[in-house]
Amino acid sequence: MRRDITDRVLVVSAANGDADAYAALVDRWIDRLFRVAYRILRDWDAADDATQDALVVAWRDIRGLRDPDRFEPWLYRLLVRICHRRASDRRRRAARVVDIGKQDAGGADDIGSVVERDRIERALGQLTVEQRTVIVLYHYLGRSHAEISDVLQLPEGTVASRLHYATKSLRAALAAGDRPSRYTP
Amino acid sequence: MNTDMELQRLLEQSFAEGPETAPMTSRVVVRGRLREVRQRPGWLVRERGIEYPRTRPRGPLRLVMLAASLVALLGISFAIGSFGGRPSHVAVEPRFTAFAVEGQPLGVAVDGEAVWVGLFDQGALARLDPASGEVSYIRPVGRNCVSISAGAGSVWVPACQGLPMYRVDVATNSAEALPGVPAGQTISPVFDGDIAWITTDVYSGSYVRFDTSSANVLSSHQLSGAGGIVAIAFGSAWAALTHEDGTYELLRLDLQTAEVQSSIPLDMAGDIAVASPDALWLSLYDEASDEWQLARVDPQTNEIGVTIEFESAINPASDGVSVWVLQNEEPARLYRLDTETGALSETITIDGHADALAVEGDTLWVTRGRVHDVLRIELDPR
Repeated sequence: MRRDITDRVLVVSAANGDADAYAALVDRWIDRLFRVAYRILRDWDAADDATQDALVVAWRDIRGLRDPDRFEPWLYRLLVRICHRRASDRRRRAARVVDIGKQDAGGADDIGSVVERDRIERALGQLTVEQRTVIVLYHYLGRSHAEISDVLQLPEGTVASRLHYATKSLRAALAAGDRPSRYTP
Repeated sequence: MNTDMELQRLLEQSFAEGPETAPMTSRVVVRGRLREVRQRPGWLVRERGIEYPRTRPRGPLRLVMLAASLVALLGISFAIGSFGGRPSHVAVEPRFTAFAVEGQPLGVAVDGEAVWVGLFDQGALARLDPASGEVSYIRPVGRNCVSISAGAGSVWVPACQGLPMYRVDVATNSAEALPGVPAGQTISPVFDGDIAWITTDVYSGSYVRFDTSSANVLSSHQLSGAGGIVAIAFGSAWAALTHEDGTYELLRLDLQTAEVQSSIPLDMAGDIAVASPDALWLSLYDEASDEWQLARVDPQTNEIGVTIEFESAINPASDGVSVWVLQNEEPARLYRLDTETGALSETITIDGHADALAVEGDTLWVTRGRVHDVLRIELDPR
């Protein structure tokens, strides 16, 4: 709660042109935004660029944010839109590949576990960026349909539908191994 | 493999393995870029779908806009005078009254005595007495009570986030959890007298028929796709479905047997259905193209006649007689529908973004989640 209150004060100060206050917000939010962007885009460089862009755009437009308590969904909304734009940029498709084996730092997992992780990574990679976004917001950030609706500016029914088909696609991709999903709407 | 728990576990595993911090250089780069960017004034920012104030411009620009408005007004007056008369229809200015509530009001229902408001993130209902303006709160009633509905002497809060469905007795304001109703991702129930048709999981299309008198589930059913029961009207239940092959349909079901009486193919996904005396109106959307429509379903022929296109998300509401459509885009707009022709006959513009709509005769109730209030709009305040 204390953090929220402080965020609010920083947002109000930033909206009044206080660059130091916004720098403090950047420090607080940059890692969170990057984590989300990475899980949506699955590309380190693209996620880094999207995070930076979101923070710069937020500074530019923060005076338009009427309710400082809504900074978080507003910021995530900016980030998601930038992620979607970046995802549509095909030139960035030559991204780095997630090295499943390299991230197995503990070394205690058996081969089956690595294979399992590889399957979920591939399955996530087969989703559209819009599907992956709702999966990340719902399963990673733990947001409700209403909150996702707020971030994506979509009706709750659309969020529920998108999540439903994203889950279906994920299951289909897992079941089919490397074959593409039949459920992609 | 693909049970919900396994899928959840795999996702958590995948998410846990991603990076936790942004690259070390990012903070430095961002700070450098910020120095090169000037903040834009709030009134200039007009990016669609993002919350920006409607502050009026000041200074010379405002004077220019005022002058332009005056010239336009004079032009219109001259044109009317040239054609020899006044407009045949003089619109009555509606009266707006705002009631502040604690939390984000994202759902609204009217039961004749009071106005009920679902408060986002509060796990609460607000009960608004229109006569006195007094607001009281009932909690807890689950979480994320958004799409509430009134019927059978209660206000109903769908089950969300694993919590049970709640109903609140409108006479006593007492809240009761309904653990007997399967908890999934439910939508607002619809009513056939004392029987509530409750969609218990929109993902799988499962629903139950629930006796509101005895609080017992009468029967459980399964639709042939994702979706749920969206209306009871014209002696039938109506279900909007989305199929895995990307097709959509509206089903008409027998109230006694729940058997399918008719299937109406849809071009887009069905969302909210309301009834006027002679038709069912169903909002449709296509998330890929972000298209929205309102379709008129003729209950005599079970066919779609008129469709009306909208530029952004809509939320239709009816009191059984008149139909109004709330267009959520900022500024929000309300349209009265001519239920015979499908023409939009009146327009009311609302400052800011609006979320939900309820209709009761000549009074409209609109929630505005971002400014935490409920607007009463009296169409004929005389």
